[in-house]
This record gives sequence, structure tokens and C-alpha cells, in this order.
Amino acid sequence: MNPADRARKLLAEALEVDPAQLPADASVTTMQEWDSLAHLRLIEAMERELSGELPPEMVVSIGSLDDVVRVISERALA
Amino acid sequence: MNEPKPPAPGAANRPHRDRPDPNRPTPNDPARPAGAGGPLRNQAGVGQLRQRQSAQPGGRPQGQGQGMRPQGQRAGGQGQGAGGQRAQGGGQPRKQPARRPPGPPIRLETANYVVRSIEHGDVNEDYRDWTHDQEIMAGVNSAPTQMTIEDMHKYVDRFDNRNSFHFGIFDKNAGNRMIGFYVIYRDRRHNLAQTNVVIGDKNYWGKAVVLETRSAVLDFLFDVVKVGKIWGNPMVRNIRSVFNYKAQGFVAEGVLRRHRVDPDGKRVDQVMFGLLPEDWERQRKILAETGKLPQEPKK
Repeated sequence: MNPADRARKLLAEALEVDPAQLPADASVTTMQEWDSLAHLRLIEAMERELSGELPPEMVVSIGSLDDVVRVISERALA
Repeated sequence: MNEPKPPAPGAANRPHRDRPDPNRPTPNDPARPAGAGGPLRNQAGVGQLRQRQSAQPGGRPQGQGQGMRPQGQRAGGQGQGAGGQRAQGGGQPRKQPARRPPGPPIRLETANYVVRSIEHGDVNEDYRDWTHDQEIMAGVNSAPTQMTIEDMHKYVDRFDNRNSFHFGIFDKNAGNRMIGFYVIYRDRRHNLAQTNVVIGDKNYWGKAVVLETRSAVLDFLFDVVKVGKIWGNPMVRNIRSVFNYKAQGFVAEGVLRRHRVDPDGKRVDQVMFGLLPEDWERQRKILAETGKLPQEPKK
């Protein structure tokens, strides 16, 4: 699965929505479902998926679907 | 809330709460700005404050050396320090300037909450117990405290409603019961505000209380107090607090690596979030357009 698909799957699970319903511009500002608890679920799921705690700079950078894709891509290269 | 004593109820926030100034002598205190406009603002409260501010020399920074610290101000801090030393050296006692009286209480209102200055009558067992709760205090990187109601009255008295604010969050849909609080400090020299928030009632965690109420506080600080920037510095692993900053448009300006020690003695990372007026103006519009900011009371 490529980073974009992995990101979409992880975010959809955290927000408890259908992946197909996730808009391309999904963000903490635009989605009602993206609340503080969903955010916590997302970070925990990403760390499970990526096998380890994310660096602090990455943790504080995540606020949109694009950010999730970027972090997954960067971790895959690391 | 970072210092062990005296355990102030206001310095940290839990899942929703910001960081206290590490250099501040009191533990647990946040600060944050608010502005005008929009349905979140309580018109009467803002009007009161504007009157108040026009009566004081400007809501402007007044050249205090080190920001605003309620304790120092209470003790006549302005005009002390260098001035006091000169007076001693010159042999002539220098008259201390009269302490400026506290400003009138502030009242803000959102769709579902009232955010207003805490009075002695608001200090109850619930509020006291929040500061004794390990889970709540862990969220603000503090150990539980042993404050009494009397201690908390003294704490409440330290805020002057000019450069330091202690606001309760009251649920309009639950008989105006207090569910949490803000602590806000303004650094007058640099015209910055720092806010911390604690949601003490755990039934309200994950209910977007901070997103809704801090928006009113941000409006107040930017539009009425006229601060130039608002900041906060939660622990990086306080994920829910980090979320709230990001959702309100704060920019992560830097990570302070292993900058704090948690209650278990472990060194932890902290993040510096900053919000400029234009950041908030832009973010506020987006939040209103996307419906993330409640405009109507909850059903």
C-alpha cells in the first residue's frame, strides 16, 4: 500500500468514517469528526503502523491528511 | 503548573490545557488573547472592558522589566526594582506608587458556555478536587496539589483583571456549573499573552470545550486587550492539547527538547505555539465556515 493509501486508511479509522468520505483537504480545521480524541487515536495508530514513537517535530506537524501522508513517506525513507 | 509549589490550580491544562511559563514564580499559569466580533463575544462584557481600558493608561505596555507577574504587581511591583534601589542609594525614601486597583470582572459568552472571572463563591469542592487529581494534573505536567479552599481564595485574589485573568468555564446547559478554568497572563512589555486551560470535569473531555471557549478568549485578548501575540507551550505528548492549538491556528514555532521534567522525573519535550492576530482572523473565518465553532447552543 502506498503512503497516500496508508494515510487515508489510518485517518479514516481514527475519525471513524468511511475512507471514501475523506476529502482530499481533510484537516483539523475542516472536519467535524477530527476532534481531540480522534487526533489522539490517529497519533497512536501512526506510531503502531510505523513501529515507534514519532519524533516531536512530526507529532506537532500533523494537522491534515497531507501531513499524515508526508510523515508516513518520511518515516518510510528513514 | 510546572513548579511544585505553591500548587496553583491554574497553571496547566489537561487534555486541554496549555503550559505555564517556566520562568514564572508561581506554578500552573497560562495566558492567551481574545478578540472582538462574532457571536462568541459577550457584548456587555466587552463594553465594560473597553471602558476599563480607556480609563487606564492605555492597555499599553508600561515598561515593566519582566512582563507581568500578578504577585509582583500585587506587591506594588511596578516601580519597584531599579526604582526602589535608586531610592535607597539616594538616601531619600521614594514614595511607592499607589497600587492600581483590579479591573472589573470580565464576562464572555459562547453558544454553550460562559467564560468569566472567577470569584470566591465559585471556588467549591469540585474545583479544589481537580487540583488534587493525578490524572488531571498529569495533563499539565504537574503533580497533584493539596490546596485548600482558603488557599484557592488567595490564589483567585492574585489576578487583577488587567494583566492577569482567572476565568471559569460555566456550562449554560448544566445550570451554569463550572467545568474548568483558564489562567491568562499578559506580558506588558512585549504585549504578549499566555493562556493555560484546565477542563476539570472529565465528562467534558473530547467535547470541544476548549475550541469553543478559547475562541472567545482569543477574541477578547486580540480585540479588547489588544495583545500582539498569544502563545502557549504544551508538552509534545499532550496530544489533545497539541490538537487544540493546531485547530485554532497556532503555529508550532519550535520544539524544546527535553525541556521539562514530568511528575515522574522523566525529561519531556515541549512545543512553543504562537498565534498572531492575522493567524486568528484567518482561522476564525475557516472555523466559522466549516461549522467547527458552535454558533448555536447544543440541543
